[in-house]
Amino acid sequence: MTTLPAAQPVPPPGVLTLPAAPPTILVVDDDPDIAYLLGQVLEGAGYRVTTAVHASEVLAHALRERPSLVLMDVILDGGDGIALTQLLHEQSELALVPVLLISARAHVTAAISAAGAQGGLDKPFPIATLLRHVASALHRSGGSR
Amino acid sequence: MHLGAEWYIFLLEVVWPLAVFIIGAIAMHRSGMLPQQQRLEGLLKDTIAAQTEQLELRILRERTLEDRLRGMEEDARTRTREYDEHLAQKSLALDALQLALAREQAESARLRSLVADNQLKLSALIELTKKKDEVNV
Repeated sequence: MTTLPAAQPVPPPGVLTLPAAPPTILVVDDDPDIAYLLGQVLEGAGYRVTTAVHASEVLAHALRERPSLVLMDVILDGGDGIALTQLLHEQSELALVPVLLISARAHVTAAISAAGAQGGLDKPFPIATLLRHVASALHRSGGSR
Repeated sequence: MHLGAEWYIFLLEVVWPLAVFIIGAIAMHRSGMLPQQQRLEGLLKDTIAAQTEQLELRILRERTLEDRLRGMEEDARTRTREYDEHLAQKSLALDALQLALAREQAESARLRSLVADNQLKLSALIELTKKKDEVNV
C-alpha cells in the first residue's frame, strides 16, 4: 500500500476542470506495476493518488483515506472487485463514493452495474479514456469540487 | 322224440316266419348302417390326416420362428452390448475433451488478461514518457 504525494492538479484539456484541492483516487490492482503506473498517470493529471494491491486492505484503506473515487481491478488477490464494491458501498462513509472497475474480461460488464459501480473499463484501454471516465465519474458524484 | 302235428304247424307258421323276419331285419339293419359308418370313418381319418399334416407344418413354422426370434434376441443383445461399450468410450472421450477445452479456455483467459495488463502498462508508460518530454521541453 503506497500513498503517492499529491501533485498540482492539471486540468485535462477540454470538457472538465479540476478543483484546486485535488480529489483523492484510490487505485486498487493486485499487479503492483499497474497500480503504480496508473497512479503516476493520474497524478500527472492532477489527482492525489493512493494505491492498494491486496483485497484485504481496501476497506481499511478507503475508510482512512476517504477517496473521492475508487479505481479497482475486478480480479484481485484474496477477493474480487465486485464484492469489494458492494462492501465499500455498505459503509455509510463510503456509500456515495463512485467506483470504476477495470477488467480484462468483458463479460463482467453486467456484474459491474449490478454491484453498484459507476462504470467499467475493459483492459487494455487508452489512458485518455481512463482520464475521461475518472473525470466524468467525479463530476457526477460532485467529487471534483 | 316225436313232435306233434300242432308243433309242426306252430314251427312252420309262427317260429319260422318270425325267425325269417328277425334275421331279415337284422340283415337289413346291418346292410343299411355299414356304408355310413365307413364313410364317417373314412372322413374322420382323412380329416385327422389333413389336420395332423397341418399341425406338423405349424409346429415346423413355430420352431422356425422361435429359432429366428432367439437369433434376433441374441443379435440385439450383442449389438446393445457393443453400443453400450461404444457409448461408454465416447462418453469418456467427450469428458476428456471437455476437460482439455476448459483448461485451454482458462489458459487463454489468463494469457489474454496478461496481454491486456501489459498493454495497459505500456500505454501508461507511453503517457508518462510523453508528459515527461513535455515537461523537459
